[in-house]
Amino acid sequence: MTEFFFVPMNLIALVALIAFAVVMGWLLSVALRNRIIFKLGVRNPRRRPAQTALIVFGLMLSTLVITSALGVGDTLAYTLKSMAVRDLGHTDEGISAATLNDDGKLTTPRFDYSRFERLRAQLEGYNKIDGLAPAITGRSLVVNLTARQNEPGIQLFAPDPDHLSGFGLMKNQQGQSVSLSDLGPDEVYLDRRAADRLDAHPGDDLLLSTVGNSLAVRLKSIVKGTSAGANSVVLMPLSRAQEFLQWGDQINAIYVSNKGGPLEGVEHSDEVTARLEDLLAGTGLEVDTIKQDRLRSAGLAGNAIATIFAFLGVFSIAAGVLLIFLIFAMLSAARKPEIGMARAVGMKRRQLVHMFLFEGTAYDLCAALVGVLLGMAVSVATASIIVGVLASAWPDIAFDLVYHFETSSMILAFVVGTLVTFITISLSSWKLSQLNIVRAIRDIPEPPLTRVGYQRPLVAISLLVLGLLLLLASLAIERASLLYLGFSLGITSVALLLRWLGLRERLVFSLAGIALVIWSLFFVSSLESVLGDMSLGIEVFFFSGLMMVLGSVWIVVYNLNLLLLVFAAVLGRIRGIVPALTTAVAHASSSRLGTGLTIAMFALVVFILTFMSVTIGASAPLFEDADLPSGGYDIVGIVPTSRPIEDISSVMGNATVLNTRDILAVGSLSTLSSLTSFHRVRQSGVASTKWKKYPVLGADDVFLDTNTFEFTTTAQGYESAADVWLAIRENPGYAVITADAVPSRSLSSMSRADSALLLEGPYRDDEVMSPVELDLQGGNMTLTIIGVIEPMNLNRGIYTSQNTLEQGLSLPVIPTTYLFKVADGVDAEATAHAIESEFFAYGMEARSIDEILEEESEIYFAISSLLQGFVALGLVVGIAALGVISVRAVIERRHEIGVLRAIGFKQRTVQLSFLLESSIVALLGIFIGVVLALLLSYQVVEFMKTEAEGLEFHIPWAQTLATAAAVWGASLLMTYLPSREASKIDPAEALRYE
Amino acid sequence: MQEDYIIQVRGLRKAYRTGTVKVEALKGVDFAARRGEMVAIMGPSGCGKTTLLNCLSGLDSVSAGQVEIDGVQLQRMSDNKRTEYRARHMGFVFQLYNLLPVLSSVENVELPMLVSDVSPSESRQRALEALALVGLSDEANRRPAELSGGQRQRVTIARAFANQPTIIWADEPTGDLDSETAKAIMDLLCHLNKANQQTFIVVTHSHEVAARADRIVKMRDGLIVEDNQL
Repeated sequence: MTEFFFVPMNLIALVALIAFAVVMGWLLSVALRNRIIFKLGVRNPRRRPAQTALIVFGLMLSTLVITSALGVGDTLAYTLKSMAVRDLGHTDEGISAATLNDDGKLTTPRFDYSRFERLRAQLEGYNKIDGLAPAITGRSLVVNLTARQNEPGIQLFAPDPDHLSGFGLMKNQQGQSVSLSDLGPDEVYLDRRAADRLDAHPGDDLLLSTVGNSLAVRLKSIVKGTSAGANSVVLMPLSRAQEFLQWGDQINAIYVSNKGGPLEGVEHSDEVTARLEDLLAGTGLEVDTIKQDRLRSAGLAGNAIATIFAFLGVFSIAAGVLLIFLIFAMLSAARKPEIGMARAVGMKRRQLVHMFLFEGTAYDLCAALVGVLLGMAVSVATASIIVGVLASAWPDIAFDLVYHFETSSMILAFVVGTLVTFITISLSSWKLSQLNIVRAIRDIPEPPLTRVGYQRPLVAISLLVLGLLLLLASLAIERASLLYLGFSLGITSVALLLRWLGLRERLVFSLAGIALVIWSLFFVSSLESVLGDMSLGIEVFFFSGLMMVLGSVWIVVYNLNLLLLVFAAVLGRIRGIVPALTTAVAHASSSRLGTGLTIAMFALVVFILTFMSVTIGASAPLFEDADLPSGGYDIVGIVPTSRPIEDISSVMGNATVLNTRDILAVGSLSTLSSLTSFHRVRQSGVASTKWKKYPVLGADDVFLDTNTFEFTTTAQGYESAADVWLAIRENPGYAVITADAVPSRSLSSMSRADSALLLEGPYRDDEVMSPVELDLQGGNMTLTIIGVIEPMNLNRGIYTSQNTLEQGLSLPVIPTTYLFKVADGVDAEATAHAIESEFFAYGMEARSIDEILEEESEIYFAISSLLQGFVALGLVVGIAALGVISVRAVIERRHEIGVLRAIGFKQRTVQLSFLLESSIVALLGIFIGVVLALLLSYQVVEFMKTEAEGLEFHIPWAQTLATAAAVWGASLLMTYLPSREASKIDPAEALRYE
Repeated sequence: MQEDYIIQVRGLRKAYRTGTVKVEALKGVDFAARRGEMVAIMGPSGCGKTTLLNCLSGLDSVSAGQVEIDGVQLQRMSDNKRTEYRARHMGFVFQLYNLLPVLSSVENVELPMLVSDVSPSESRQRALEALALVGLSDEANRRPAELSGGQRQRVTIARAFANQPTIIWADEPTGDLDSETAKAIMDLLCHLNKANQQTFIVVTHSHEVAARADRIVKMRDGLIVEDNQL
């Protein structure tokens, strides 16, 4: 993770570490000066092991959530990095001709072997490179004739065996070193992944096929450590590939290995790249920092995952903090008589604070350690599930999950977890030290505060200043969440000031609560008009969730007696329940702090769970409406560039398996180069002169006529989508682009790799855009972007006409993607199978769009469920809080239970009273969480419709009720044992020890 | 005549363990009380007064002997039946008032009626009447913390007799009160005793309180050593 709520993680880590060192250093010095107090403090955890275990469990939850968020990010980043290293081996950079020849004209990306020799000579004596290998690389169709399996996407990798020193050793399955020189004239190697996909074994007969060329070979061995930069690789020596492809003495890549091993070499990447670019200037050859890019992307992906988990964990952490406060409030209450005695015999306030801090810190350190360990376990489970889902979604990619935890992440989680707890303990300790000695000894409750001290106005003014600063910052950096937070803090500070000025607490906080809820809903519902040019990040929804929960809890807690009348009126009709209900309601409303904190915990977690359910459910229609992402087509068929279909109409005309009457239209998209669908593009007239890789697709006339893609924004003068497509057809050079490469005014996207294309100028949420000019590498070609296609597109890229590409680049374009529109009532899946059979000779893979969407929705919902599961961890906090409250209540109310039993409360009535009390708290929390989530998610879905048409708000009743029932059930279960213990209290014994 | 007695106890023994020490709190008590009688039980601390009261009221189990309340042997009942019996037929007044701090005065008073299946509206009505009788109509909605010691004890008394029990057990009912308030409370108890003909068993250290009873029973070391009809 690089930043959290705009604050750089490095800064957070630095501040946290310094604070941790200061706190621990101070505690140590106090302990050395007051050894008795220290001993008194730390003996308590040892004296009551069961209670200690309960406290440690409660305190560790925040650390667990932080650790698991960071751990999942670390593991996924490391996994992707190690996959990059596995695939690339010693290869750090790649040199290719891209699509430019000596004359600055676009051509097939080959160049003479002599180029390599020249470069090699130029690098003589340069010590940052330890390997330079000329090679041919590209996609090939490979058929396993023995197993009758074919795979169109196998990577052909043919380096020169004489120049592979510095690239490490290839090994066969037996672990023996092998070399390309060992291969016979008709032999090849496959890597493990390719062998699996082809079901190939050594000795199998294979057929390699590229444009116009076929080669029969035999598999000699399955190898690893190819340094090819891909998995699913077929390997042969360069000379054999040149012969097979009839390329003469030409190659299309030079692989570079930097000095050092597979991991260390990348450190020299910048220097080596600069050197190579110097040497290659004007030659048309370009350097790709392959490994550095992949490692950076892996880091960004891990960071994105950690950020999502950390964001979602905020609610659980907030609930965890409330639990810590509650635990220490309870602990203080339990210790009151003991502490009163200590004060009576001469212990000073300061010493009392120290003693409690020592005890709290002992719990704190244990809890943070346990939290880190359990958090690691949670992140192992979470990362395994994520990788499992990804692996099933992309069977072509070999995912090797490597569990990894950065020491810095774990230290950060430990330190932040410890500090969060320590701050709460400090507040509790200070509060405890203020007790009245006599009241403490007699265990009499403190009277309500009649006088408000200086702290409240101080806090109020600080919040007001902070709010104002945030408002100013929001205007300066145009960030909506700061505006929202600033105003919310303003409401809170005004409430505190009004209270200080003497207004009734209930009135002030009820009104402040209402104001916070209304302000949050207004803010989210009027985003477009409120924001103006401000950017909106996902964090605004989290902040508004937190503030709405805070506001609602204020409203509820200060009006509990009114709300509980409703409970009493509803349940009071059941006669047997009345006495238990009376005491339950009375206890719930008497402890405003405990009840409020526990309601808040439940509300926070149920809020985010319900919010996620609604927003995830709202996106379900996107996966059901195949027209939206496919442009109205039903089947997509892909052929390898090596087997182009020259005239699809004639193949269709001679169809034997396929009923051509089922097909209404076949559009095609062409890729620009024969080796890759990506091309280098650069926006004209902007500061950055860097070329970015992005798919460029040439659409045929049928596609331009029949697709149903809509636009989020278009240039002036186009009234409909059809107008735009017609303009592309009629005007060479005109193009449109998919929304992923265009920024949004309202939603700020997560950090992207530097290499990702993001246009400057247009915004996808504007109605009209100014046309944008993009240079295509090759020099003579400029594309004019006149529209942005709506998000949710299966094929991202720049769409232009095939004529544009052919005329502008003087190159034949090769259609590789065919889009079939079928007649109403025709089974798309069955037709896709028929298409595959019909186009078998071309190696076409055809799938129905419905099937693709179903697969994507499975991944989406699987990952979403996992995230919800992670969030649900927070419920443990709320349920644990109820457990803590119940256990303490049984101890504190022992005497009262004796009285109740004496005046006629049966055992089961006592038990029922406890269960009702916890139910009231849990149900109020659940109710608040669900209602707020529905209100907010409705607004969010409405807002998001501007980004993704097709979103539908509906209440997931089954899931919401199941969550509510599970939470309530768990809270009953947690209270059951303490309530049973309470019911078993002997009345005579309870009354005897008054 | 046997029917005059609402409480009859024969050979009552009660022992319990405190740590490893076995304490014989009652060593064979024989005792009886007439319907409508007010009996004061006196004795030094630890002599077994409260234990006797707990055993008689069914709050505590007995080790040996027989306790008969209005012809019913409580120790033969299940815990549920015994609790039900207590709710319908007994009231309790304790030294430290023992009110539920989270309930208002009227809610405290109506609680025994609610557990006796009296309807909520009738319970509330009777609780308000009981509070009026002890002079606390205006304090019905106040919580115990907002009342003085004397007022709290009046609420306890209202709670004890609101359900019209046949026996009221009072354990040091004036122990925590100043002498003037104590006198007022005893006046109230005596008035209720005479007005409702309920049996009052009062455990006390106070001679002034005892002097208001019909009979004084003195205990020492788990035995009744003196039984004086006044």
